[in-house]
Formats: sequence, structure tokens, C-alpha cells
Amino acid sequence: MATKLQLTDLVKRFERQSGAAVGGLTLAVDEGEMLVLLGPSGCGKTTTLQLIAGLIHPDSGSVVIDGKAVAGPGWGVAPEKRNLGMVFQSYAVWPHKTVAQNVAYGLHLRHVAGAEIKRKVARVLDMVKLGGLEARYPSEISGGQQQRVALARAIVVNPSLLLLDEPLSNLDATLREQMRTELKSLQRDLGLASVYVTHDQAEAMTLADRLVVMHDGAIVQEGKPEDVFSRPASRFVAGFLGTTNLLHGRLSTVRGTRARLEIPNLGVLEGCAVADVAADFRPGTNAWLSVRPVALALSAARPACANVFEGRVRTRTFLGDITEYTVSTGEFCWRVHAISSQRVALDDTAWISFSSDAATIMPDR
Amino acid sequence: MQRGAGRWRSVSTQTPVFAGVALVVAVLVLLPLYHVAASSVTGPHGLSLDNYANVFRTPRFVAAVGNSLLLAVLSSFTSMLLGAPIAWLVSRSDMPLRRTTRVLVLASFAVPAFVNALSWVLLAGPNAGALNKAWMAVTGSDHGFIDIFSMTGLLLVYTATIYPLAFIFMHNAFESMDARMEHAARLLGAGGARVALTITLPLARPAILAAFIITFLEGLTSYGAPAVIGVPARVYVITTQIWSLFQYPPQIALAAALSLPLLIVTTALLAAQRLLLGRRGFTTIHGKAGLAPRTELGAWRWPAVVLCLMIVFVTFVLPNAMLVFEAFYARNYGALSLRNVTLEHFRYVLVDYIDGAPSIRNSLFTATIAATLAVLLAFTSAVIVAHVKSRVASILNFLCLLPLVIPSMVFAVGLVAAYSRGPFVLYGTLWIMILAFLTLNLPYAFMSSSTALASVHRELESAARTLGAPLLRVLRDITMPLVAGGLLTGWIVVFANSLRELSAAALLFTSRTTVIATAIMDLDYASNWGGVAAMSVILLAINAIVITGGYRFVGRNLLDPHRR
Repeated sequence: MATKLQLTDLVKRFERQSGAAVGGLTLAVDEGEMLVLLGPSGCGKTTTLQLIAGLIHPDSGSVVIDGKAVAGPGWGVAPEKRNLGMVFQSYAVWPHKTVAQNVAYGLHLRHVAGAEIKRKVARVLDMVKLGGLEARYPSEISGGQQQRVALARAIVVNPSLLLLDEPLSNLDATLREQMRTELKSLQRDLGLASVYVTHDQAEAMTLADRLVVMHDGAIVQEGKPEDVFSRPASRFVAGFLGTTNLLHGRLSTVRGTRARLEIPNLGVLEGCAVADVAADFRPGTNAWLSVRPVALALSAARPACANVFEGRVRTRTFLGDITEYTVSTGEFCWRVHAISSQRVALDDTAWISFSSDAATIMPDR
Repeated sequence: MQRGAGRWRSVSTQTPVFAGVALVVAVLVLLPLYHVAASSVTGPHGLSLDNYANVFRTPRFVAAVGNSLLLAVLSSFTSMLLGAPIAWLVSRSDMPLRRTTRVLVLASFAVPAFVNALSWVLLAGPNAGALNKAWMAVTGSDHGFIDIFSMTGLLLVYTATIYPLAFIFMHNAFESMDARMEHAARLLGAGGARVALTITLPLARPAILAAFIITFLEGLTSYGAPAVIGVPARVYVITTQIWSLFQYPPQIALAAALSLPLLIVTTALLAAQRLLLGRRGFTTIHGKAGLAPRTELGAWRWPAVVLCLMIVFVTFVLPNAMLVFEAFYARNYGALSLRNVTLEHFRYVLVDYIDGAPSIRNSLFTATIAATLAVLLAFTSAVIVAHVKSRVASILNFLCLLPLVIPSMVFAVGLVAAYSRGPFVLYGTLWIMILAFLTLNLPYAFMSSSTALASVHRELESAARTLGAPLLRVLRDITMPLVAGGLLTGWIVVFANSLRELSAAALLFTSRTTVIATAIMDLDYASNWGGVAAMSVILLAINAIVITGGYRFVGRNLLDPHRR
């Protein structure tokens, strides 16, 4: 598969900001692939997108689109010469142009013939379900429809790369979920290489072919969404992607990707780690263990299993399908998610257990 | 330098343009100011403070400074006394006819001070004034009851022309106040009047002080009323003395020595005012006054509105009605009769009066050119300030706003000093007038351009760039259409201000470059009242047409493009 975008050692610093906004980022996007940059605000994901778009230029490193270098240390091809499509958080739909005029703008710039423009605009508007709204002004359509105009405008020019900067964050929850699904199928049908920036982990999981988690201007983990979720490479990733139980301890034995962790006042826990992370494990050093609340089983009798603890149920919060318990064993408080049909009484003694495959061990950082 | 370089790089091709614009603005604004300062300290034998010594040892100048200060203090009090309560009633109470009151007060702001003063001469001139004549006819007395040519008369006209400014200021303050603060007091059990006294008023305190400063400065630098009423009444103020120093033989150095202290005072006070209002967060835009509970006036609703309308009637309706009457009425026929309605005054000023038609042509020409150049310069500057983060941009921002503190008369002194000798001799041409109008109004054009630009989200421009539009194409296709309404608003403001500007024009005009405002003054000296009135009506009419026409256009097409 051909590489559509290659970022190499990209660095960008801003005035009045200590440290780099983006510090030495290397990344590739293949043809037809949807890459999602996920991270908290200020992690450098939007800066990365702007560097790709050419709205800003890197201090060092390079940006290569379709095999052509478009930016390097201190220079960059102007954004208009990169043949990109970009969807902005604010939609940026021009209020003085109709829906059709908004979508047609990029085609006019490419000197497409009038009849061809009309055909293409009609086709793309059908694709995003805006047929019949051609003559409306942005103020006369809803936020969700404006979002579709922005998307149509970006894809109608058949860009090398589609860039999306938190495009769904201004929509309400129901609409967001619906647009998420549509966006994904549209991108897959068109086979458009895309870079999607978001801070919403649910959005990232649904959309990504490949997920890149960023923190402090650097990539902390990349991979298939399910792999990143179930095998976080660091404590930050574990905490950022969903809720988890984090325990700190000392590595006692390491075998391949499996390791045992000795937790003070609790006992020995067994878990797994990402292969290249596990390679750096040395017995006697400190490490973290993460286990998701859903991976914990709660039972009245002691189960036969590797990781088992007896605790007392402290709180119970009904969340609908599931019920969240906090269970204390010694000093540690576990968060446990159990299906709501399983009833455990407050202040009861209960056994907590989880399989060692469900627990991830991560380096002490 | 290294850190700034990144921002510059992306716009490096435009750098010469930016530097050029900054240089033009700097020359426009600073050169005349430099000449004021330089001439004030230049004696016959080089550097000296003799000019200042001369000015402040001459009794008539000292008296003028005293009069200016006295009138400024008194008129700022009377203006606040009228303006602030009306502003509160309009923005915060349930008084009837709030909209009408507001429109009438704002309309009176559109009438230039010298025109208002002339109307008052027509109304309350000691013997020939209409009010005095009516008084004599009714009472049989042999003299009138009011003489406009006096300190009291001057104060009356000052107040009538300055109180709308106090109104605007206080109105904005009351409107932008956070309604929730008043809600909170109400929920705790405070009544309407108590909320007004214990919450609203204290919150508005910085705005009140700021409004005092503004009205004081307006009085201090006022020229229209002192020229029309003060000079015949022998009540001289700083501005009329500066003007008198320009009569033959001109003594520019003395005028400069009188001007510079005035400039320093206005600068210091406006800086103080900015400190008061800026950053305090007190009266800045926080909430929506529309949500505020209006104070219920109860039985006082009607007395309040009657009082408001009386004030507006005396300060606006009466004088302007007098003006229009005078313009369309043949004065020499005794009885009031429809047969005496005539266009002869208009025929006179347009055909017979030698300066009439040329002055209108000159006014339209200078105002149009000044407004167009001001908007072009202001828009370019605003683009630079908004998009380029560098020291040049922040200096440019400062320079574009600087003329706000410069009294027009002081600036005109500087223009004469700067451009009456080489390398650019502009004195005696319309261009020096255009320079004055353009520079003095640059801040207004700049502010409307900046506001319009700020409302254009950065991503709207980025979207066009990523689709393949080069920077200039983005400006043309996206930015310009979106800011067009703001630019037109700026243009209208500069045009209207240029047309009504008297104090700068009074120093800059020559027999070949007379404009409407100076022509009116010329007719005033000749006591041609019909001519004065007709010419004033023409001035007001042109401005009214441009303002209402322009705003209608803005309202329908530009601010609201999707309702085409």
C-alpha cells in the first residue's frame, strides 16, 4: 500500500510556551487509512494537523504528502498548493455563500467546467444527504447540516488527504453518534486517507483504523484501537482511555510478555505487557498494573483463579446496564463494574478476581 | 527576534507592504504632532521656551484658559445631569417611549455643535431671536428675556451638544451590565429603587467617571459654540484664541505653545479614562441587559417621560425646527403666512453666493476621498494587526488609535506647520483638508475594520486556503465580503464626520478651498441668516441621506447577506 503522508521528526515550538508543542513526531498514513490522533487538549494534536495542512511550518523535521516533500525546517509549501480537504471544528462554512457555492468553491479554484461543477456538487450533496438545500445560506440550516456542508466541501475536490479537526465536537450527543457512523462509511467508500483529531475516546475508537495517542507533543502509543485499549503501553494511556484500576508495585518475575508484580500490603498480581515494553522489564524495578473495572469479577465464594482478593463493598452506584461498586482490600479501593442483575449488598464481604490476560503491566513512568 | 521569525516567514512576501503601511500611518499621525511640539519651542534664535512664556503671561490667553476650564467643568456636570438619568430611564426602567427618546437623543448628536449654536442665535439672539421677539410681543417688554451671547448662553449650547455623549456612554454602561447582579439583589429582597442605588449605580461608577472625563474633554476642545457665540459675546476660549492666532499676521509658534498643553491634557485624561474602563471588568460586556428586570417606575412613569421629551424638545427639536423654518421662510415679511414659504435662501446659497456651490463640491470631494482613503488604510492596518504578531503590528495598532486623543484644532495647527513649507506644500489645497479629515477619523475606520475582521473566524480563511486559494484570493473571496458591512460603516462615519468638521477646516481653508462648514461661518459673519439656515439644512440633509441610506444598505445586504 502506498504511503499518502509521512511525517518525520516533526518539531514545532511556539512563542511564550516552554517545551515544544510538537516534539519529534514520526508518523505515516497509508492509502485509504483513517488515522485518529487522540489526546487531551494541549497534547499537540491540532498543531500536528496544522503542520500537515501547511497553516504553520515546522521548526525541524519534514512533511511528505504523496511522495512530495511539502515542508521542512522553517519552510513549507503554501496550504493552497497541497491539494487537501480539511474539516474544521467551527465548520468554517462561509456565511456569505450558499450551500452550493460553498461546496463549489474548491472546484472553481481548480478551473473545473461549469456543468461538471454542477454535477459534482449535486453528487456530493446527495452523498452527505443535503440534496435540495443547494440554495440555502448557512444561517438557514442546522448545525449538523453545516457540518455536512463542510465535509462535502472538503471531499468534493478529491483531495490527497482529508484532515478533520474535532469536526463533531460542536454537535449534540445523538447527532454526534449518527455522524460518526456516516463519516466512517463515507470515508471507507471513498477510500480517502484521513487524519482525524479528537479528544473524545469513544469517537476515536469507533473511527480509527489506527489510533495514535498523543501526550505532551509526542506519540505515546499507536496501534489498532482494540489493542491500545486492552494493552495500554503506559499509565497515561491506561488512564486516558476509559476508567481503570491502577496499582503500583515491584516486579518479581518476568517471563516473555507475562510478569508478576508485588504490591505492598496486597500480594502478588500477574499480568501481561506489550511485547516491546516487556522487553525492558527487570525484576526488582517498579511498575504499574492496570485492570479495567469490567474485567473484575465479584463473587461471594473464593474462585479458583490467579488474582484473587477478599474485600468489603463500600459503595454501590447504579449506572443502568451496569452497577459500579467500590470494594476495599486493605488500603486499596477497587472500582468494579458488574452487570446490574448481579446484586451485591453494601458492607458485604466479596471476592474480587481477574484473569492475568485482562491485566496490563506498564513501566514506572 | 528568532521566535518572531516564524510568524513573519509565512507572510514574508508581504513584509514590504506592511512596513509601507506602517510608515504612511506614522507620517500621517506623527509628523503634524512633531511640528506642533517643534514650533512651540522654536524662537527667533533657535530653541527657547519664550512662546510658552508669552502665552502664559498674556492676560487674554490666561483668561481663555480659565474660560475653557470653567465651561468644560460646568458643561460636563450639566451634561451628566441630563445624560445619565435619561440613559438610566431608557436602558433600565419601564418608562414609556424609551425608543423614541433614545432615537431623538442620538439624532441630536448628529447635529454639529456650530449648527446648533447658530440655531440658538436664531432662537435667542438678544433682540432678533424668535423666542425674545415672542416674549416682547406677549409681555410688551422692550427687551428679550434671554441673551444667548453670554456665558449662560454658551453653557446652554455646550450642554445641548455634549449631553448626548454622556447619554451614549452611560447607556452603554447600563446596557452591558450583568443583569444577574441585579437579580441577586432582588432575590435577597431589595426593591427596584434600592437595587438602582445600591447595585446599579456603584457598578456604573467607573463608567460615570469615564463619562465625566469624556464630556469634560469635549467641552475643553469644543470650537463650534465658542466661535459662533463666544466670539461675539467676548467670551474667548483656548480654541478660539488658537484660531485668532492664525488671523493675519499668523503666529504659528504661539498657537503651537497654546496647543501642546491642550494635547497633553487630553492625552493624559483619555489614558486615565482607559485605565478606568479597561481591564476592570466592571462595566464591560458580560451579560444581556435584555434579561435585566426593568425597574418599575409606577406613578413616575409619565412624569419621567415628559421630562425626557422636554429636554429633547428644548435641545434638539426646537433649535432644528427654528433652523428649518429660517431656511424656508422669507424673513422680511411680517406676518406668519404660507405665502412667505420660499426657496430663495437656497437659490441664494446655491447660485448667487460665490462660495456656495464650490464649498459643497469641495466638501463632497474632501469627505469622499478622506473616507475612502481612511477605510483603505484602516482595513490594511487592521489586517496587519490581526494577522501579524510582531512589534510593527502593535505599533501600527497604537498609531491608528492615537488620533482619538488629538483635538482637531491642535492637529490642524500641526498640519499647517508641517505642510506650509517644503518638501510638501499642501497648505491652500484641498489635500491638507483631506489629510486632516482622514487622520482625525482614522481611529473610527480602524475600529470598525478591526471589529469586522475579528468577527471573521480564522478557520473561515483557513478553509479557503486548504481548498487551494492563495492568500490574496482568500482576502478577496472570503474576508472582504464578510467585512464589507463593517467597512461601509467606517466609511459613513468618516464621511459624516468630515462633512461636519469645523475646527480643523477653520484653520486650513483658504478662499479657494472653502467647505460647507466654513461657508456657513462666513455667512454667519455676514449676518445672512437665511443663508446660514439654508446651508446648514443642506449640510444636515447630505449627512442624513448618506447615513440612513448607507445603514439601510448595510442592514439589508451586507450584515445579513442570506436575506438578499
